[in-house]
Amino acid sequence: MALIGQILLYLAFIILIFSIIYSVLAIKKKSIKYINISKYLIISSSFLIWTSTISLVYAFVTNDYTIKFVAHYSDSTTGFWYKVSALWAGQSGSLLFWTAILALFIIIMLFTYPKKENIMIPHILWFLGLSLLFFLYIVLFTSNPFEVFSMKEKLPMDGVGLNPQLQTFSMLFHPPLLYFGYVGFNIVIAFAFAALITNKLDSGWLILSRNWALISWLFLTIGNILGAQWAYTELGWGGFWAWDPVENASFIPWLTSTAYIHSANLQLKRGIFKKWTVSLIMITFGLTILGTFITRSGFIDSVHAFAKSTIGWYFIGFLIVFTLVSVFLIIFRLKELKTDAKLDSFFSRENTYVFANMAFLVGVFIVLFGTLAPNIFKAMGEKISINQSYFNEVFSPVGLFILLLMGLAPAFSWKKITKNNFQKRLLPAFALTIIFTIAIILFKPIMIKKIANIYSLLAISLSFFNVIIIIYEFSWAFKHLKKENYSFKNALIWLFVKRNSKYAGYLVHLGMVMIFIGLSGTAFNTEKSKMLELNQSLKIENYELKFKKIYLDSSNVDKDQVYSVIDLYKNNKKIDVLKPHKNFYNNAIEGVTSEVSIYSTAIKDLYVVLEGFDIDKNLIFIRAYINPLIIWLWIGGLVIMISSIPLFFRKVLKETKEAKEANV
Amino acid sequence: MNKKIIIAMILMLSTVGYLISASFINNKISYLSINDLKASPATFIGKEIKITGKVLNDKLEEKLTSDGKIYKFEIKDKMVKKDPAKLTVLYTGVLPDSFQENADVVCTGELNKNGEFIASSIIAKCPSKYETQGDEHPEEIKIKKKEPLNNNNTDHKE
Repeated sequence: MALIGQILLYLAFIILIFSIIYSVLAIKKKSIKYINISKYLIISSSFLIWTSTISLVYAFVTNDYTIKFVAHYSDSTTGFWYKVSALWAGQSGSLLFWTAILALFIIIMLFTYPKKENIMIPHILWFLGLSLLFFLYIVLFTSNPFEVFSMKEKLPMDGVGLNPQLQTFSMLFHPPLLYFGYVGFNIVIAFAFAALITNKLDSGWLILSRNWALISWLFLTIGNILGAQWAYTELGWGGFWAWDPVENASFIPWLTSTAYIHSANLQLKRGIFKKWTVSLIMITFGLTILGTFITRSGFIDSVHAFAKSTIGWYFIGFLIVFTLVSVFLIIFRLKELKTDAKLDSFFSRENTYVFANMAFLVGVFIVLFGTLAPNIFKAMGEKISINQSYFNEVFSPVGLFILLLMGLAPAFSWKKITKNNFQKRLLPAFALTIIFTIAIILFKPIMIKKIANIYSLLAISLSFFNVIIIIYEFSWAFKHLKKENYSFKNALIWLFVKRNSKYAGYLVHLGMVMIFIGLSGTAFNTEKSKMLELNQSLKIENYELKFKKIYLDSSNVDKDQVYSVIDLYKNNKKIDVLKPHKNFYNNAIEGVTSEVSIYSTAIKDLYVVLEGFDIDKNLIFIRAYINPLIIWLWIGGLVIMISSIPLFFRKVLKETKEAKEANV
Repeated sequence: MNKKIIIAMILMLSTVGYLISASFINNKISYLSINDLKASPATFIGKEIKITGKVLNDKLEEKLTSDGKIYKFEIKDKMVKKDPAKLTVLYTGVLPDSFQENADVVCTGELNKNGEFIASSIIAKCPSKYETQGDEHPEEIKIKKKEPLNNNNTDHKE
């Protein structure tokens, strides 16, 4: 199996080189025939990559321990889906997986690309061809997942096994979603490059890449949220985000891609922001490469970086070349990127976008600086580390500023805020928000003790402000629809197809607001721990945890489980039975995982960890956390996911026509 | 761009610049290997620092007090192979699941006068670190028999 997978990859590599050559020839000779040859070659190369990837998955599923990678990341007790997911559990497999996703996306892109467009496509082909070649090169020559044990080495009887902490539902989806996001932006950037080179800088390339950008953004968003949820439910420390370099690496491209989505929308609608749009997509892609370097090089000390390896330096090389070419292209096309929109007023919707873009970039700088600072100082001979509070303290105000702009933008009008908008929307919304804030301060549902609490209060107030604005927008829309006598179906079409970037966009904002509310709760966490004998209890806020039983369950093949049974009382009434437990895995890693119990309500989570135990003496040691409002993070993620769906419809209806109009 | 935007931008950037520098100075802490620490322990006593090392003896002692469970363990310098410097760490709280012998850990806390490190937080390297290194092969990892479980508080048979 290893040999077949290997040969397929070599074949793919060679075919890909020819595809790139033909795409370049196609540009030189302006030949449609060459374009088609290049297309077919890259598609067949992509299929070979897929066959090869599937052969590796097959090796996992059939326990082929002659392959080192398979032996390291699975064993005979690993479940089927976790064997499949072991593909991206380690470095070399995850890179092959990445390559395969890029191959898949290229195929999809080529099948959905307008057949008649012949100017940009050869450039897109060589760019994507080179990107694919880069990854294929790394997989084949530096980090080969098909490496087998040599003749001298003894073959293992069983694999090492997949780390138990990775054997969770969110781990099945979190890494692939992030890869989908990164790779999706690789497709978008190919469009941007082609547009810059061929000087087709009107909205044509934006329309063609709109869905790619949106879906990639959505993948990144959901991927990050799932990662946070994994950390929350699986790592047992009560938190979900630690500003670890690896987390930051996936967070910063998210920031710039968010700015990109908004700028691109503005360019599509109003023909302005061209420089912003191309710059932001370049920066986004550059940051994904930088992020890959951070996670894969061992250059930065992180709690979950991959093993140290040299492949990081390939990414740095890639990044440098990419940045130089991008900067050159943008400078070269500076004239064409100029837009002659003049703003009449400071208080215009356009300006909220300008400030939001700036805020996103500043946010990136803050996170990047905090992540790289230890290395900068190391170069100067000082060994330091940055506390998490740096990120919380500095990033929070920027986040709050973005939240404010998110509410202001819809209330402002294009060019200049109208008197009507100011008096009927903004002023009442501000007034209500101030009343709301004062009410919170007076009635003290939350206590303000430290700066973080003030940030939280502001986050809640601004969320309230946003909600009012969104309600106002929808009530205006409903009034309008009623006046025009729309049927229910037509109303839905008007809202979520014709004007989807507006109204579905507001719902996405609503999801973001929920996430801000969830984040604001973190400033009010409390925790308590206690050793308990049978029938003793731990009290935290209005909850009481009474220890009833502890037992061992060894019915599973792959693990032994120690369960503690705890009755949960709320205001002295029994409401639930919690079973926080520990899993002891039998594979060679002998991993232990704490499986926490979480009792969630809209207001707060009760999070219980079984920290230690003694079965013979009927003793347990538990730790309980109160995490206020955290559930809104996950609900917000869900809202974003669902309300993004309508954003993709418009293209189905209008793509061909618009693409034609845009003359691409 | 009009003047107002430029002024607003300058205001915004300088605020952020101030925040970054102020917060950075407050949150910058020394991050040392055990060798660095042992070279001049006196300078670090009572200061918040971060220490990185490998767990040498994961269960020197575990005690229960009214504050919770106190763990005592030893870590060694991970760069020096021969006779590495050692450090005793005391910690109250939840040890991460990946905490075990030979795990790379990062401890935040301070050194007390007895040369023990009082950790306020401990991070053990995360799952994706399980990348096997160099010449380590699965067959060298013994598959242990199931042992009766007891993660108890006072004695340890492992």
